[in-house]
Formats: sequence, structure tokens, C-alpha cells
Amino acid sequence: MNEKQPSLPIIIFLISTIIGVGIVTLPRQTALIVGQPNMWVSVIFGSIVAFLNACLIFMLIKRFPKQTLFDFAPKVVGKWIGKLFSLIFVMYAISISAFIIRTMSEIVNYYLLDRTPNSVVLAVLVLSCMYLVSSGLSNILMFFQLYFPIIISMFIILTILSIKSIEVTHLRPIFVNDGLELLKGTNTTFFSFVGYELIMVLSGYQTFTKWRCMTKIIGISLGSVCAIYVLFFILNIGILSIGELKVITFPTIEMAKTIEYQGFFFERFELLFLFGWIVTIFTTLTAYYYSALLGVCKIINCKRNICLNTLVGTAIFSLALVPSGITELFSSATYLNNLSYAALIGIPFILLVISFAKEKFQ
Amino acid sequence: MRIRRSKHNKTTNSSTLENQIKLEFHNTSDLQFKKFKVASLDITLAFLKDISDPIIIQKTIISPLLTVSDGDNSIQIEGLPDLLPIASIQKVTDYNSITEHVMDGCTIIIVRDKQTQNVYVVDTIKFIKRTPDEPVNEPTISGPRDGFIECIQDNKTLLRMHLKSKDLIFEKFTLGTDVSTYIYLVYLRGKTKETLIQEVRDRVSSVEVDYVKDGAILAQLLERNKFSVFPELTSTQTPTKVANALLEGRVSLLTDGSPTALIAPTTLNMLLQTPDDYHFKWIPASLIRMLTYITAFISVLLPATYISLVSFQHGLIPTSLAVSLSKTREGVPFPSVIEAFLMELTIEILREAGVRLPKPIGSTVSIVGAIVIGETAVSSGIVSPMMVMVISFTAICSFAIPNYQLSLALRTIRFFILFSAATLGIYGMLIAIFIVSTHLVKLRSFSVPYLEPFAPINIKEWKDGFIRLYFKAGAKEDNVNE
Repeated sequence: MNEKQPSLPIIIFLISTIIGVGIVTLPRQTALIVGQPNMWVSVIFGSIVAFLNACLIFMLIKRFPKQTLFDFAPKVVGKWIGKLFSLIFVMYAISISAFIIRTMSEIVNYYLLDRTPNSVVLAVLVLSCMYLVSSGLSNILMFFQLYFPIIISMFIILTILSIKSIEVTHLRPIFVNDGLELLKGTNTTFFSFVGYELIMVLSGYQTFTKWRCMTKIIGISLGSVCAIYVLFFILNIGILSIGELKVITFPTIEMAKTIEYQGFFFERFELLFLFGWIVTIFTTLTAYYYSALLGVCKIINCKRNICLNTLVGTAIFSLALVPSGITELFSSATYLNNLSYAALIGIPFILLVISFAKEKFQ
Repeated sequence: MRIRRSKHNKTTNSSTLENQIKLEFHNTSDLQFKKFKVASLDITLAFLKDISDPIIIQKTIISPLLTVSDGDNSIQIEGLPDLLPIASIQKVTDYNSITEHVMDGCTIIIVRDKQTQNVYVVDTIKFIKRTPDEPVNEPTISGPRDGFIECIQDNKTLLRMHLKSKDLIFEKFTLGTDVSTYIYLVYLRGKTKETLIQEVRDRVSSVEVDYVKDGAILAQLLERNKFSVFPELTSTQTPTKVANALLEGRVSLLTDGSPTALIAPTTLNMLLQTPDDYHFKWIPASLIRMLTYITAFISVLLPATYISLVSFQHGLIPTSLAVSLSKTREGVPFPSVIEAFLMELTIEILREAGVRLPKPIGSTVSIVGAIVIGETAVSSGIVSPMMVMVISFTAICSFAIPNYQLSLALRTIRFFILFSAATLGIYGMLIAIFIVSTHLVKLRSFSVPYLEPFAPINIKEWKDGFIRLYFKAGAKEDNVNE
């Protein structure tokens, strides 16, 4: 804790960023592709892929201490291509934010506010996020630290409460492995681990040079998210069964709904889950929003200000309003996945190869 | 206020000095001069008769000098202080400070022989003060019962009594261009970070006002976040709190003429603690601490939660409760939001009325208000009984918050969250909580994050957060700066 550069805030930042929409929609998506009770193994595969990708990113940022992606990209591939890369990353951050907040607003509309228009739900969220983002990275890190215990305790309480309703038969058979199916599922589960790429933005705030420190940060954050996901997968399958998972839009919330304890003030616990989950959405949004804002600032070479903040906020807000319904929203995820490949694997890989090559030839 | 430069020169003789003093004080009627001769010396005493103690002047200045026989020529002008049975007597060379000394209740002794003139200052202040009673708004169950009073000398004494340490340091500042007020910066050298002391010094000396009325006003002058409802400095009237804070490496500011001492830096955690927490065994004390936190949360969130459950998410209330709730709400003409605002308003008015009225009537008003108005409002069907319960429970919770300023801040926040809940239900409430916590995260009190130790997270410090862990003999005292 008292080291010069504590890694705890970074770990908390990454965990809060990674946990987001995935926890609600992932069980259904995976069930559609894998369709067997041991599909949680795909989650572990997904986290391993994410870990390898994070190592690739780390090899890159290790070469440029105290610099963000937006700083070192122009140095490696020249000013304009570098700016293009930054722009792709900004677009990626904006569209991922738009996607998650739209999903959230659909859920809020479905479970909490059935008559409030989407735009109001979204606008309120983006505005409050704008306020947080305008206060700078160190305050954002503090905000995440404040809410982290709340998020974690929400997950723990929900797990404890729902253990009672697990039906073990739903989880069987455990060791019938269809490797190919599980690997196919990895493609889906991998995307619920995105968020670690923001280490390329955090690298401007703190220097990461040691492999040990880095594997600790990435390992703990991906590991704990993976643990939470696996836990929730098992709960989901155990309580709802695979067949049901395929047809329910938001399985985890339905799962929380099945918890019933008579005599409590709240008879239904999805409120507890929604509370904690909206917090995670807010943290994820903040992280991407901040990255996008920082990217825009670096591209046009000016300081963070309220105009740019509003610009990025409006971009996220209007992009979130584009899909007309939940089906269109989910189908837009495909484009998002392609963009993610570019931002997560493509850009770092190209930059890494070129910077290696430059070093060799000089 | 100073003697004007143009009138001042080194060769001023005694009578013109007296005239100058007279002029400076605009011939006020309580300014007194007393002239007499001791041996070959002419002596003039100047003092303000109402704040200087005549008995001290008689006993320590006049009578010793009058017993000197007239023929005793051995008395020299420099030897005068030796004749007076006083612990502190100062020679004044800077005549500009004379007015200040007179205002402090000192007696000016002007001694003159044929060639020279010397000026001495003797502290003869007369205090009008109350006893250091237990402060009204910070009662304690088992702690020390002394409290600060309006006299700064006594406040310093109280602090010295609580902290017998050679490291306890008082730094004096004079603020105010029209009326000067003395401010003392108090800290423990070695415990307190030098940067913190320097920051406080800078802020105090950068205050430019005509006069500082009170410690609480000084606190507002020192604050950086003018638009925040949360106090950046804790104000307290108990020496125990100040002593504890000093031991933790904080600094304190005492203001002359005010029983309010300020403590900086302040954190939210600190505002929710009472010295009593440390006087009991740690398990009950921890429970009380947790209770305080829960109380704070309830006082902010309860009305908003109730509103959003009743008007947006009825589905979340257990069915049997929902049925009985809707029964009680039957016949209430207002939507529950208006109902809540009405009740909140009534409670706030009752509270203010209770504070303003003299004590014996005050309690009557609150009883009459609470029972009669509450009872009739319910029985006439203007508000539902559940709403009355929610609002009054919230009010009681906000009374249980140890710090009055914090309780005021939370009262304000409560309305904001209530409004958000009324427009967007649970979701709006959550967004409002995000906004408030963003504000709290941004807030710094003298460069210290306001939400320490929760953000930035510092698990080691949690032993004095939600809970209060046991003391270990031999363990080092906590320090904010570590």
C-alpha cells in the first residue's frame, strides 16, 4: 500500500471497468453458442485469451513509459497514421460506451421505469458521468475505489442468497467436454473481458515497467473478474437451466428475481442487483468516456475542457440512441466486436511490430 | 490602527505621547490617565478603565511605587521595572504598538526624567468570562466536560491542560483591517506535516477582511470550495476534540472572542466520530460507530427511497405491505412527492422554531407542533401516517449525527436526492448519489481527500472508520499524514 506506485487503484480501476454489460447478457449469448452446462469453461478460456492480449499490450507500453497510446502511436507510425490509430481507439471507446449505456437504459426501462423515454434515462447518466470525467483521472480512480467495496459486497450477498435455489441437476453433466464448442464460445466470452486495454490510457498516469507488477495487476483483475463471471454462470445455469437461458434476454436479473425470502422488507432482490449493476455500468462508462476524451484532446493537441467534454458526451449519447430496439442493439454488437478486434489486438500488434522493427534497423 | 507616521518622531515627550493616545482613541471617556511623581521621575499611567483591572493596577503598580520615599534618588529610569511585583513587564520601543496594547487591556507606564522617556507595558486585563462549561451542542457521556469559552487566553490554557507537551505550539496571527482579531494556529511540532502548517499559514494570512467576527466565519473565509455544502473545517467547542485532532497530526485555529475552535483538515469520517467512541470498549463502540454511519445514510436516503418505492416501484414492496400502504394512502389528496415535501417543510419549520424560541417555550412548540399538527394532519387525511413516520424518523436520524454542520449539509443533500427520486425513481436516486459522491470525491480539505480512508482506499485506516478496533498498548498513534 505504501509503495511509491500503489497497484491497488489500478486493479480496482480495471475490475470496475471490465465488469459491465457482460454479467447480464453473457450467459444468454454463451448459452446460444455453446449450449452445454459446462459452458463456464469458455469463460476461463476467454480470460486466458484476454490475459495473453493484455501481455501483448504490456510489451508495447513497456517501451514507452509515462505515455498513453495517443502519445506513442504518432511516434511509432508517424503523425497522421498515429492520429488515425488514436481516432480508431476513440471511436471504439465511444461506441463501446454507447453500447453499454443503451443496454442499461433498456434494462432500466424494462425493470424500473417503464414509461420514461430512453433519451431521458441516457441523458441523466451521461450528464452525471460528464461531471465525474471533468474532475480528472485521479478523482475517477478515487470514485472507483469508493464504490468497489459496494460492488463486491453486492455480488457476494447475491451469491449467498441465491445458493439456496440452485438445482444441481441443471449443472450436470460437468465433464462432457465438447472442446470445439467451448472454443467457439471463447470468441463470445472474450468480449466480456474488454476493459483491460485501458491500461494503455492509464500508462500515462503511472509507469508500468516491471513484468512482475504488471502480471500482478492484470492477473488479479482478470482473475477476479473471471471468478465472478464463472460464479454467476454457475448460478445462472443452476437456477435457470440451459434451456431457459437461451430464451431469457437478461438472465442474471431474472435469476436475482427468483430469490425470495419472505419477511424481508424487500421480497425481491433484483433491485439489489440492479443497484450494484448500474454502479458497474457507470464506472465502465466513466472509464471509456475518460479515455475517449483524453484521446480527442491528444489528437487535436489541446487541454481537457468543457467543450470537448460535451462533444464526447453528446457523441456517446447520440450513438446510444441510434438502435431502435433491443434486437437492433444486439445485432450492432457484431460491428462493435470487429472494432474491438482492431482496437484491442490490431493497433497494439502493429505498433509493437513497427517499434521492434525500428529498433532493429537503427 | 496605528499612530500616524507624520506625528511620530523619536523625541516625542511624554505629554505629546499622551495627547497622541488621546487622539487615537478620539477622547473616549473610558481612557484614563493617572499622573504621579516617584522621587525624581514623572510617571503617567494610561489604560482603558473598563477592560483593565483597577485592583491589579493599584496593587501592582501604584502602591509599590508610592511606598518609595520621596528622597530616594537612587531610583533610575531603567530600574523602574524592578520595583513592580509583576511577572511580565515589557519595554516598548515601537510607539506604534501602544494603541494595540491599550486595547488588549494593558496599562501603559510612561516614565520620564529630565532627559529621557521610557514606556513600559503591563498586562492588567480584566476578563469577563463564563466558566468553561460543557458545550450545549456537543454533549458527552463520559468524556471531559470542559468547553471553550470566549476568552482566548483561557482556551489556550485548556489546551495546555489537555496536552502537556513541549511540542504544543501557538502561532499568533492578527486579522482584520478595521477591527483586529487574534487568531492562534495550534499544532504539535513533529506530529504535523510542515506542508500542512504552511498551507494553513498561507490561507490565514491571505484572508483580507475588515474584521473576523467569529471562528465559524473564519472557517468560511478559509474554505476553497464555496459551492460545497460540506464543511471543510470542523468547528468544535470541546478541548478534547481539538486535543485528539492535534495528536492525529491536524492543526487547529483558535479565534479571539469565539468559543469555536476549527480543525483542519477535515474528513467525512472525522465528522461522524465522537470522542465518546473512544471511551467505551471497542465492540460496543464499533456498534455505535456503525449506527452513526447507518443513521447518516438513513437521514439522506429514507424519504427518497420511500417516494420512489411508493410512486414508481410498487412492485418491489412485499404484497402485504403494499396493501396496507395503499390503504393508509387512501383519501390522501396529494401525490406522495408533494406529501413528502409538505411534511419535510413542516419538520424543518418546527425545528427552526424550536431553536429560535426561548428554551422553556421551545420544547412546548415542538411538542404541540409535532403531536397536534402530525396527529390532526393524519386524522384529517391530508397526509398518510406512513409518510409522517418516514419523515419524522428521518428527522430523528439527522439529530443523531454528531456534527451539526454535517447534519445541515445532509439536510440539504436530502432534498436534492428527494427531488431526483421524485422524477426518476430509484434510478434517479442512484444518479443523484453518483453526483453527490463525485462531489465528495473531488472535495479536498487542505489537500486531504474528504472521503479518506474510503477513497483513496486505505484498509489499514478502516480500523477507525465504520468500526473502531481495540487499542494496542505500545502501538504508535495514528497520524493523518502517514
